[in-house]
Amino acid sequence: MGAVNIAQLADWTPARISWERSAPVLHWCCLGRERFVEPFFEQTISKRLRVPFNLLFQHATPLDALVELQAVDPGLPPTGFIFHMSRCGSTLAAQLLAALPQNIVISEAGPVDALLRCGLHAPSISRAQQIAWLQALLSAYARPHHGEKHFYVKFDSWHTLALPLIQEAFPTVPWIFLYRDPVQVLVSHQRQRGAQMVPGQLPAEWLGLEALPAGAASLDEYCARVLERICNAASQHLNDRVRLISYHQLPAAVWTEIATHCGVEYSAADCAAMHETAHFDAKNPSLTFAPDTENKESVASADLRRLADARLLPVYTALEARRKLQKARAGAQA
Amino acid sequence: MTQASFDEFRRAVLADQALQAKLRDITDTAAFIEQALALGQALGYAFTAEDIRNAMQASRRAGIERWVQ
Repeated sequence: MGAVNIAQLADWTPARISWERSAPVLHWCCLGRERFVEPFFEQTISKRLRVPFNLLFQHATPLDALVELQAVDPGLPPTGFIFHMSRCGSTLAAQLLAALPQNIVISEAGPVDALLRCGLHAPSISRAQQIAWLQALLSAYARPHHGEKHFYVKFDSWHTLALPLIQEAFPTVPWIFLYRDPVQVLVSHQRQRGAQMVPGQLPAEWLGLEALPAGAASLDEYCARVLERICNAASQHLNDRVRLISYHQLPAAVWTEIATHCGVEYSAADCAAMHETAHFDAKNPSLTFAPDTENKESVASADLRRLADARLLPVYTALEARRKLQKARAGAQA
Repeated sequence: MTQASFDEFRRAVLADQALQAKLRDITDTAAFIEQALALGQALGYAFTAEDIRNAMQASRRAGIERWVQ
């Protein structure tokens, strides 16, 4: 890869991480004038990697280039982190924030996932090194190329299992955990199975699940187990910097409770812009948003409901109780 | 040898934000190649459109091999 000239990374964004002989390699992409406005990080990166400039000039560096870059060109401190159980409005929340030009929003970035799970590829990487790289990676994303003022990160759903490390790396950043009625989330995964809900896509040991013999559990059962692990991990690491948000509070919670929690104030124009964005499907903005709660409830089978009750009702009930307590306290302080 | 000159041109652009700004937002491939050739010539490098096309094709191939599983 040759010696790295940190000055040449000013307009480049960390795009992907590959592994070469158990060492991480960081691949960079020039965003040009683009912002991260697509629903997912990879969509913006894929689009930019196809332009002629990136085909000709994309390059790779060791991960330590991030740390050098952070020292000379640090990004904004994170304004807020979004954690979620999946299929619960997290993309909507991120899209509303990304609709405002003063926000940088990184949604489920591959390099973040690669760093959080790097122990699988290279167990010798120390926790301290992992934290240093994670801090430097987010700093690189948070550079305000367009005069932005706030920086948000939406993590992948399974990253609640990395909360201890993330909280150690960023001890003061406010975070939210978004969740939804488990029956509705299970129905969503029945219709379109998330990759993380397919056995083997995420290593069982990383999820803290016992590896099940092939065919031992249905896909719905496996999905419920993964959701249980995600929600329990969030529940076990609640602290004074978290605000619990239920799906039914969206979209308004983005410009009310979440804004207050993250210490941000929005103008009337900002709220109007977010309100307008909420009319469109978060994952496919060319479509109009269509509420689906009633439909999901109506199609849920008795077996699915039993699964939700057995695996997820306890943690869902606990989250709801804590959320209502937070809301009551916030109301009392208002 | 045009390949060596092309490699030097790539290094020069990567080391200079102002040069990058002249090329990074061009989305049309033909226009990009034309601009890159003009820029290279102005800087004293000697390479061809074929060098550029070959490099882009190699990059596409490497991307597919690395990321598409």
